[in-house]
Amino acid sequence: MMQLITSDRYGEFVEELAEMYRLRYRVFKERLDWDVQASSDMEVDDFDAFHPTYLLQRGSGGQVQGCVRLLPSTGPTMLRDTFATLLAGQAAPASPTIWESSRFALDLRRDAPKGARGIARATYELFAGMIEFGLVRQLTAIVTVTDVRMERILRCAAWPLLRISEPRPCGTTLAVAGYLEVSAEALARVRSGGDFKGPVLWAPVASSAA
Amino acid sequence: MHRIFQRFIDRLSESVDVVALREAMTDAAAALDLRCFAYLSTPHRLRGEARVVSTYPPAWTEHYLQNRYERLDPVVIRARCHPEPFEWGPGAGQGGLSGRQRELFDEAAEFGIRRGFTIPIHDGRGQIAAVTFATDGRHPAFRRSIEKHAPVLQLMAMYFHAQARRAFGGDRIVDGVALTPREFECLQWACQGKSAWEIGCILGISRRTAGFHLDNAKAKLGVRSICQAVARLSAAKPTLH
Repeated sequence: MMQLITSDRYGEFVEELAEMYRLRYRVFKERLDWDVQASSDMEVDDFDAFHPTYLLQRGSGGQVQGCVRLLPSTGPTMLRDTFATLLAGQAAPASPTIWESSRFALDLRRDAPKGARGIARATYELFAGMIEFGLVRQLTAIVTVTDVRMERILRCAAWPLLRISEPRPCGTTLAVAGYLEVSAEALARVRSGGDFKGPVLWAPVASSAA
Repeated sequence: MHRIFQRFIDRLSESVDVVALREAMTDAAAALDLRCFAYLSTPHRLRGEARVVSTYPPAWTEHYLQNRYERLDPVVIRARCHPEPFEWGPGAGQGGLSGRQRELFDEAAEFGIRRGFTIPIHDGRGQIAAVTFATDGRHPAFRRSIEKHAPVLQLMAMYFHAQARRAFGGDRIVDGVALTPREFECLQWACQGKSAWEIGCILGISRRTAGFHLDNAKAKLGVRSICQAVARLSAAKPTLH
């Protein structure tokens, strides 16, 4: 199950936001050991203060096990302000039809249900949610900074990253920036990989995102 | 409570300066039965000055900062070592305090700050901040609010920190380009002829990380070499954002 949280609804989703920040702490601080800001068991950074939209993915037990953060590229973005070096001299995208995704995280049980090519269905669900969000907002692409491991998963999931430049070492990983296509075709491929017959974002939520 | 949180978030994002941030937190805290608050951000290592945004009596915060109490304050010391939120005050484990620390607590009590709930924030680079909600005595409403709203207070503290950092001008503007404090710091050392390896040693980060910050600074300034970046930095008079 997916949830979409826009900034005008943070108040209603305080518990969900707290659960999401705990998930991010587990993934980025504990598992990946990134140099991130934390308070106790939550990971919150400066970009969370720019009123992003969040997509949350819940497991069958109702727990928040996946999340991604979405910011318009017309405002502050991680690519422009933190990872400018990955632009290789190009200008950072700043267009109403491009949003940036960041803090993509999944914390799944080992026995989580799998979709095509051994990738968890939850991963496909989160990807599909991003594309559905993009289609509702009439985006053409999602720009993102990720690492080569995630890039491989995206490629396997048939939603390949179109690189802006070559990967560069960053901390313990190889970081890479690129575009993800937002289109009905991309959605069909991801849905089929995760074996989803219809929208993953609930219709009322998807329409309120418009 | 949901409405209080939403209103707080909305007001934070509208805030253009520290005064507005302070008001947003003051009102949210009051709505949650929390009388006063203090945000303290300590500098990297021991250089620089601590920053405070608070509704404590100004005479106390002034006295506190003048005497650099943040180096001695058991609340700050605990916040520095442990990232979990905690309560302090009479009955909340004040053993093991030095004489001066006891005096500090006594002085605070004279200003009506006797017990509190402190939320530490660690930025992963040695800098810490803390948000404290405090009260002057045994207010049951205070305790109830802390118990009920602890996770929300934690979120409020983190959002506040993110905004306060910007309001205090963490970014430095060079030729109209915003550099992060780390990028600026690395570039300053590069100006003095230090290599990425040397800068890494000076700042306690890896050569690769120093190189990463320098590359970012170059990309932002739109130059190809460190020499050019250094020239731009020297030509521009860096101003605080």
